[in-house]
Order: sequence, then C-alpha cells, then structure tokens
Amino acid sequence: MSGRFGSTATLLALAALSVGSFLLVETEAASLVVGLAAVAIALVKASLILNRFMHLEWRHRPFAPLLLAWLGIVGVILGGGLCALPWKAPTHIPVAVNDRTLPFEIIK
Amino acid sequence: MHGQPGAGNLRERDRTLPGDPGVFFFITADMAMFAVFFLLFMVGQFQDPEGYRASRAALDPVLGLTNTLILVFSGWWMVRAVEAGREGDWRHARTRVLAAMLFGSAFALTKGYEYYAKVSAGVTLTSSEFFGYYFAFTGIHFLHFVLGIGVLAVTVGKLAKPEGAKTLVWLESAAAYWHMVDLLWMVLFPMLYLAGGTA
Repeated sequence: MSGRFGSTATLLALAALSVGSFLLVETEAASLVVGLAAVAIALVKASLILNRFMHLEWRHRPFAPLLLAWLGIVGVILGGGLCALPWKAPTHIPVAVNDRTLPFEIIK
Repeated sequence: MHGQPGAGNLRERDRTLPGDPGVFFFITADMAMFAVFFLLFMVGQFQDPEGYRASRAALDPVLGLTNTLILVFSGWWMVRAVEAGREGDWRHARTRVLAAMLFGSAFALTKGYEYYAKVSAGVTLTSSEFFGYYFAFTGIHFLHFVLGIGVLAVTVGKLAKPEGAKTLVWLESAAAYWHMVDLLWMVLFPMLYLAGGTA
C-alpha cells in the first residue's frame, strides 16, 4: 500500500488503535494484561509511524535498525516495569458470583 | 506546479533516506534520551506504585486521547505534503504543511488547557514525584512540539520558492521531525495516562 490510500489507511488504523487502547483501559478493571495491551498497542502505533509515515525501511541504515531497537528497548522498559508492579486480581467479579450463588448453596 | 522540471528526479529519492541524515541522527539521539526518561519513570513507579496510581487518577485520559488524535491527524497531513513534494506538486505540499500546522496547533490548546486546569487545582511540578515527571516529560515534549511548529512555518516559506531536491530534503526532514513528536506522544500517552498498578 502506498500513496494516499496507504497513508489514509494508516491514519485510520492509528486513530482506531488510540481509541481502542483508551476504551480498553477505561472499560476494563485495571490489570497487568490490560496495561501490557495498552503498551503493546502504543508500540504498534509507533512502528506504524516509523514505517508508514516516516517511510523508514530496513535498508535505511543505521537509522531504521536503531529506531527499531529503540522500540524494542522501550517495550522492555514499559512492559518490564508493569510486570514488576504489584497487581491484585479484580475483586468485583468473585464478589458478584458469590452474591448470586452462595446464599442459594447455603439454603440447599 | 505538478510535473515541473526535476519532479522525475525527486521520485528517485524514494530509494534513499527520507530526509537529511543529520536530522535522523538528532531524532535517534533525542529518542534515546526519552527512553532514559521512560526508564526513570518506571523505576519511580516501581518504588511508589500507590503514589503513582493516586496521581495518575487526577489526569484526564480523554485529553490525552484528544492530543493523540490531533497529532496523528496532523502527522497524516505531513505525509500527504511529502507525497505531493515527491511529485513536484509544491503548491499542494505547501497547503498540506499549513494544514499540519493548523491541526497541530490544537495540541497547544488542549495541552495548555490541561496545564492550566492542573495548576489551578494546585497540582504542580512539586506535588508528587509522578507530577514532577509528568510536567517535566510533557514539558520537554511540548518544547519539541513548539520547535516543530517553527520548523513547519519555515517549511511553508521554503515551499513558496521551491528549489527542487533541496526543498524536498528539507520537507522530508521537517516531516520526520514532526513524526518524532507524534511518535514520542504515542508512548507518553499510555505510560502517563493509562497503564499503572491497581490499588
């Protein structure tokens, strides 16, 4: 894909991914998976900008490999940083299940 | 302007680095500096996850998303400007750089509003470590943005009197710089506004 359609498709993909990561974090309970997904989406967006907007390709040495390495390093920093944080399992789901099931189980 | 002398040679440039190597060196070095910033932030968050989570809750992610969409749309106009420039269509290239500036300027408005709202609420650089980093990183990014707007303004001037391949290199370099501003925000947005630990 090149030319106007290529750049417009990239624009739409970037906008959809941005809104998607926002909705993911806003609607889901905070968890490691959601945090990692938001970071992964950001890295996909960054690589789209490098490849589709900046038109950087592997043959553009040394800058394209360096910037791709930058993406990997940032992924490790952000992903590793999130993994190192204390995460609690969402509590609202088990509570809701208990509210519905436990009383009936006890009555039986 | 379309198809003016030299336009064919301009398309040959598609096989070379899209911009000045010096600009790409600057971009790479600048992005390395931001990687260090990201590391500092994640180490700080590891040491005080609750403090960072509480501070992050005071940010408005809708504004962060708005800024993301503004920069992406502005970046798209720069891509279109480079596409026109490679065809030797300098008039459209100039109009599209102006559009990129116009849409990009909205970032200054939303960021200015966000800073104003925070400072009005008593949240400053010294309120917490999180906000220290927030103001420092977004402030440095904002300086890059202001410099980018200046570069785009110079580009508009250069496109009024195009000089073939020389002008195209300038246009591509300006676009690469502008995309770097965009790209850095793509990482700052989830790091500052979205992803953090649970209470």
